[in-house]
Amino acid sequence: MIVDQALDPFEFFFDKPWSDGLPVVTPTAERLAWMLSGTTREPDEVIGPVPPAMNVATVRDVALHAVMAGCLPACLPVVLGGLAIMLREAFNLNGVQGTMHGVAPLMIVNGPYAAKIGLHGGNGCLGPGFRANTTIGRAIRLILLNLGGGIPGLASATVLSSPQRYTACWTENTERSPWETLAVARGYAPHDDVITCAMVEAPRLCYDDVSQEPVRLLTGIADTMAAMSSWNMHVRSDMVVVLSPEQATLCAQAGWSRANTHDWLVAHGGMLVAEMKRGGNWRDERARRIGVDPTDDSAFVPVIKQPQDLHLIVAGGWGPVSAVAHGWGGGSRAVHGIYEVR
Amino acid sequence: MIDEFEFFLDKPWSDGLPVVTPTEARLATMLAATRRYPDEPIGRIPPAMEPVTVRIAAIHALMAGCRPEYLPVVLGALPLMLREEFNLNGVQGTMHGVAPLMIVNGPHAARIGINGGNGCFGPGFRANATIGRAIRLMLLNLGGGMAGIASATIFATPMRYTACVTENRGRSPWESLAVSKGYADDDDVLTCAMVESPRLHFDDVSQAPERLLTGIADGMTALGSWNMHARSDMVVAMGPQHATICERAGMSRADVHRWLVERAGRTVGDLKRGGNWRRERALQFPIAVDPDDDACFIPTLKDPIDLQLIVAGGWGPCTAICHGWSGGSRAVHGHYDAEA
Repeated sequence: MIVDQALDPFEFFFDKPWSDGLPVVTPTAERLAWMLSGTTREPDEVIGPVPPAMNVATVRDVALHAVMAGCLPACLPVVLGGLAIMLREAFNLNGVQGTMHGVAPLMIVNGPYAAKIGLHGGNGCLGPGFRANTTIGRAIRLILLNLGGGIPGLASATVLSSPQRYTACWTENTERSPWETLAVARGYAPHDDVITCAMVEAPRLCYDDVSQEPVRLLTGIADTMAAMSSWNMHVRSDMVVVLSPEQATLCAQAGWSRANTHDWLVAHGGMLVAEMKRGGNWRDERARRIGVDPTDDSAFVPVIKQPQDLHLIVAGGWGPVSAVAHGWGGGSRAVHGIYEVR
Repeated sequence: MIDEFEFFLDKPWSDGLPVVTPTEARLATMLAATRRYPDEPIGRIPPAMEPVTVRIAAIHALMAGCRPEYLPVVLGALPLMLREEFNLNGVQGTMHGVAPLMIVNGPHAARIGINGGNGCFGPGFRANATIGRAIRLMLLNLGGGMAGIASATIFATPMRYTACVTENRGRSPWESLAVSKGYADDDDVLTCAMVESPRLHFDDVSQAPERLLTGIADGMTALGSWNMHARSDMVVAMGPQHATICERAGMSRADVHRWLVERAGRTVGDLKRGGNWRRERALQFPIAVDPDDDACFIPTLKDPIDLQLIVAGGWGPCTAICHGWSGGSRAVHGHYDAEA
């Protein structure tokens, strides 16, 4: 027997213009009811309109997309919480949906619920193989495509996009991190369930199996934080730096706190004006807008314009590598908040 | 009753996404796309060395979400990726996070809808998404390259979900990568290289090639990039707008390739400051460098054939740069039979 592709539920969803190109779980009424068992919230409760198409997402709509993405019901509170935070004006989701750039709204989930639902912060955590990470991030992407209309060639002008747009949901490796979490560093309690969202590209891996002390190690990482054509150099923009537990431990054993490391990277990541002028996005008027004198070739331009724009986390398995995710040029401020597990 | 989706999502080799349920009827539809015998062996996937046949590849293509007409690309890619010089075994186990990126050239790529335009490295394009995913599912299921099990990858990378692109033939000013390697325009050709996720390089300022390529060359270097410290592949995907700036100034594809190979790099003095620099690593390069001379220039590309220069993406001032792996993998390319 040859399958009638017109009647195959998989083909039905693949044919939709908002498909991410991967199979979805067929959203039957039974599966939707199962997904809604992951929350006590009313199905008709409004989360908000998703730009630029501004279709309104309700709890039910979010649950439908979570079903299609492959989520377990226990993941639904994270998707609901993440979406609400992403719709804050400061995050500028509308701009990112349309941009020529290729950043994605990355979620960093901290707190006890992340561990409970199996969000993975160890070996391979920025890649495939971990259902909670993969499907929570994908549920957001399907909502951005289907309710927001952020489809390449339609509402999205993205030139190259990024594989980070398939899914982008990370957590920290709290077991092997020598430091407090990103959320705790911001003043949340360790038992708070917190989501931080930042608009970033796919990670740039930065290997260092040589350094035995923090300054050389962080010099290499600061180098990866800077690039002539990174928007972080030219405007205020967010950046996520992920230290592996081994590299964070190298700093901690030398007596460096999380804050020391954060401050060092903020102070030392950057380029000289003369260097920046040679290529990439440099414009005199852009320099002036960030308070840099374009005529002073010896002026140092920091990658991070405001310390809170750097999101330093510890994740991954054991080994000598860090990951640096650069930001967007269009004015998005990272957002964070407590999400309710209910 | 077990939900069919939950059954597959529970498998240890799941990539974490739903699969198309591989029924006998769907498998028959998939296999109808090839004339090859279902039992024909293709090879064994390291490190677990489980055998892959045409049928087994078809099952994974089906689960990944491929249309039947994508199957020849998946079948064509496997023998290329299993060539010894590609070192799939090493990448399956490595602490690093590269993925085998497929660059598909030729008429079949266009016919089946592989996207080389707007958003080609991201979601929304079934051929790109599912062909790359079919390979990943086999690396996981037949090769055992699961993070924390046979794979020691520290971070992996989102490019490991799927990694399959083509060039933007409609808007490229140059011949394709395959044609530049000596294939004919109507040959169906795959090039595979072990690379990280793309680093986006924006430049809405440069009007001349020299400044544009200086910026791209800057994106091709980093203290923590293995390209600086070992012979390694790199993929540069120029947006059509960037490529056209070069072409209008009279530069051919080969000119741009040569410029980047010659100019991208760092001095020894710079490299020593951080990252992977080791004197003994520099002494192993296939080119002569003096690791004791701080002024000595170390090129990113140790051999010109290690740079895969393509033109892809939609219109706009952006180029993507994919850095390579440390462990010794040579990019592979070859013809595949779209009709077989």
